[in-house]
Amino acid sequence: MLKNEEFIQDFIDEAGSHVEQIESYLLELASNLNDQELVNQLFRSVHSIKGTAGFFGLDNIVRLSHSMESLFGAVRSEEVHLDDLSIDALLEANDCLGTMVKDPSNSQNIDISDYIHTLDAFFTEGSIEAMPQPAEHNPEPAIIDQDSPAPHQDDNRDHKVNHPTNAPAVSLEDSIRVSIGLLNDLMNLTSELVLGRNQLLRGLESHRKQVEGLEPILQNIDSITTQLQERVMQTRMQPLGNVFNKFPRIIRDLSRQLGKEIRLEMEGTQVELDKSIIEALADPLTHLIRNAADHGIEKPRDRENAGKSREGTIKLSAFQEGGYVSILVADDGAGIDVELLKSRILQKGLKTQEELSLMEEKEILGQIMQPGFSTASSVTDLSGRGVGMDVVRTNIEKMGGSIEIDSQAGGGTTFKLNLPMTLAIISSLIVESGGHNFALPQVNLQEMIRVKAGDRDRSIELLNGYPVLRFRNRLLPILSLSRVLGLSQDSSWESLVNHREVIRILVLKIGERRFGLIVDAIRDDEEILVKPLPRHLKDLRCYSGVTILGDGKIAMILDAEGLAAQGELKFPETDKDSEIRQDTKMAAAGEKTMLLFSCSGTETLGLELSLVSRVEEIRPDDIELVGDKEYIEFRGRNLRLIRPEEYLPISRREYERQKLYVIVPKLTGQPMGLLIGRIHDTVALPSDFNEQDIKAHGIMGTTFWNRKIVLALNLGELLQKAAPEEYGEGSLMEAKAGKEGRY
Amino acid sequence: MDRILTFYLEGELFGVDIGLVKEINRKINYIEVPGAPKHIVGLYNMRGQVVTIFDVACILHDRKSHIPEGPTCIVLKNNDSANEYLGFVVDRPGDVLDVNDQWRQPLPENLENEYGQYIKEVVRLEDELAAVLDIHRILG
Repeated sequence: MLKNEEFIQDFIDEAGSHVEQIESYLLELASNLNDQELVNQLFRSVHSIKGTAGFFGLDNIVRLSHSMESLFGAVRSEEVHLDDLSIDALLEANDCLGTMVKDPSNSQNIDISDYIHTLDAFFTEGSIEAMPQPAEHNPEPAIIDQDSPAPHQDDNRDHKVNHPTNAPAVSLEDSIRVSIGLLNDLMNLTSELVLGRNQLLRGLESHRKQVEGLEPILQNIDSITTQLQERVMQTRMQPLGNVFNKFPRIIRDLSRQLGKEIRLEMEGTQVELDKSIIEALADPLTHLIRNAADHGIEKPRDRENAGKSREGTIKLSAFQEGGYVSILVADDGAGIDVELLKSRILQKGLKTQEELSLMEEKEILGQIMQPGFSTASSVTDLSGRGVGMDVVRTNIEKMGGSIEIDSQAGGGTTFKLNLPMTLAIISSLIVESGGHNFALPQVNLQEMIRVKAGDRDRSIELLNGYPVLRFRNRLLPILSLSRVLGLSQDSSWESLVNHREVIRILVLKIGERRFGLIVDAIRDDEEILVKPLPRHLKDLRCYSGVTILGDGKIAMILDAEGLAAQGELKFPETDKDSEIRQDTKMAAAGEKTMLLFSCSGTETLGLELSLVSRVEEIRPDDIELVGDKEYIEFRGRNLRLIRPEEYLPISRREYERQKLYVIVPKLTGQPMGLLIGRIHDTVALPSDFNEQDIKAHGIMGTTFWNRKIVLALNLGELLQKAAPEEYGEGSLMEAKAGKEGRY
Repeated sequence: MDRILTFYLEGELFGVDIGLVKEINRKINYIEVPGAPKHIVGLYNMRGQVVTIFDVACILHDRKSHIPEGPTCIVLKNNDSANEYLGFVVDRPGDVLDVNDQWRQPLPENLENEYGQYIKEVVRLEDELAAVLDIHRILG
């Protein structure tokens, strides 16, 4: 039956994009029923499908498109006025047209009489009263080879994904179709060219000045290669509109089905992403949009009762940020009840009460994207947000992106997706450790820090036995690249704390977390072509891929998340907590960052972190007795130790631990340290201590952490009590501390 | 199997089906991969392709062998499923031989299982024996 087999694929592609355009024009028309230009475009699109289908002898397609065309003609000549019902009928007819166009050889087997009757009725009678509800027809022809006769938007999605169109702004005459395989070849070749250019430039570096005329040639090749690479990458870029465009229809259908009033706002449809990412985004975004409509937005009556407008809004927006594109899916619906979520998490045994109490709200919300959480049973009481969310997260992470969730009970939920613009070539920093070169993706790099020996503003210290960098009012956990990778056997951090040479630290970011990575040397910026990790090295989580550098050598690409996991890096504090705010600022914020610890007894004590100079790990044998006073050697000096429990109303035991800590406070006129047993954490706690319950010299008040009482130390009083000879009234310490308004 | 490529690993003579071999590269410049399993020598850039290089002797004897500076490496053809090249380091390559049926020897029974599972057959050459390796089994 089909003539000209070789042209049929062109027909499928072209008619497919017309069908998509018809749909988006129809949806536009629904909100602006008098737009003549839209009707003209609809007429042209349908007409062009009809014409080509006639050439192939596809009668069914011709008949259905003819009916649609006639209706548009009647609308154009103002014989018929469109309304919601007729647009619905047109949309359904267009769906059927799309199904037939996708599989022309089967199109003759599809029963289109219902659609034609419905459409014809509109302009023969010119009225809608006699019309049967289009929704009562089964729009899914049974013969069609389709997975499921599910809601319309599903089969609609199918052909959308298969035939992404060019940006609507590009007219057909100005573009040609090129196979993806050819584009991929072009991209690979360009990537190799970029590498070749890098090798050339590096190889000729020392001869640039020697050979006359070489310099401009190299510059020219350099810039042309860069431009070529950018252009070739562009050929694979597609506007997000290609994915976004199908959501108006989904929302329209869903609001009917669910009896809700939903408005969809879209922004940033022109933002471009690599084709592979655009395609991979379709499913996760559809899931998020459907979730928002289904479970996020409330019924109109419930919204009114909650004092909101009847109509709910789902806002889909995209914008570019550096090498990343962010997509926000925000609804103004019911939001997620964190307390309910917590009890669900406990019930499922995913986290303990302790773990939950340490988590930030954002982290708790993130739990709905954990695999164990997503079960159908949680649909009703948690507005169903868990269902399939782990799949969404996995898909996003597979393409190198991340997803965050924010929700206000009663105020709505926002998902933020961060996606790389392309997967193939990334800019990276080449670093060296233990004689090996590594490439670190720039997207993970926040900044580079040089730590000089004896620099007081940025120094490496041990906190709870782990190294941290005190930097810009923040404590940054630190890893050494050579240790994480097993290139260095040195297991103590002493050499780091008392370093002589400059230490180079890269501050890496993973989502909102930050950590420092010590490397031996920092080489160069380089654009690298990411090659997948060889099969036999897949288990090495420190790497995300392999690349060939400009000098032809292979380098492993570091994976920030994997390094943090391999180094068993703990992020006990979120960024907010780890900031050591200035006293005045802290008072304003009503919070203080406290170092929590215990002495020999079980009580938890807290000391404001800004008063702590360092925390040293010692062994009990290090302690020396001179008279009745205890000392340790600390940086070549004798440091007097005091045991807080001897001066405070807290329990006292013998230490059985082989590891003890000494807190060295700042601002002490005489060197003095507090001997303690263990360090719990640093946390931000409200500064309005309860000063009534426990009153004692040396204790400022009490507060709670993790459902335990924390005794906040008054360092000045404690030191005065322990060593009155050093810290009498009006001593240096008092004067200094007083200035800060603390004591 | 008709033709084999022989090579020496830590002084012992081995063979591999020549049909599996893509090329032999001398004095290769490879990088070690920190954290990799001990039987993986490293990665090598073969004209833009990343080759994973194995220490076959380490797999056979469960101990890391000595890899000289700029070693010689036999690179295998890649099987189409994965676009990935595998290779292994040898002391030195031997000859390409047409294997005569009379040369074939049954597997000695005293070959321990561990080792024996990697040997396809043993062939007797003029004055020595060569164990023909089931190289894809070895490299997994």
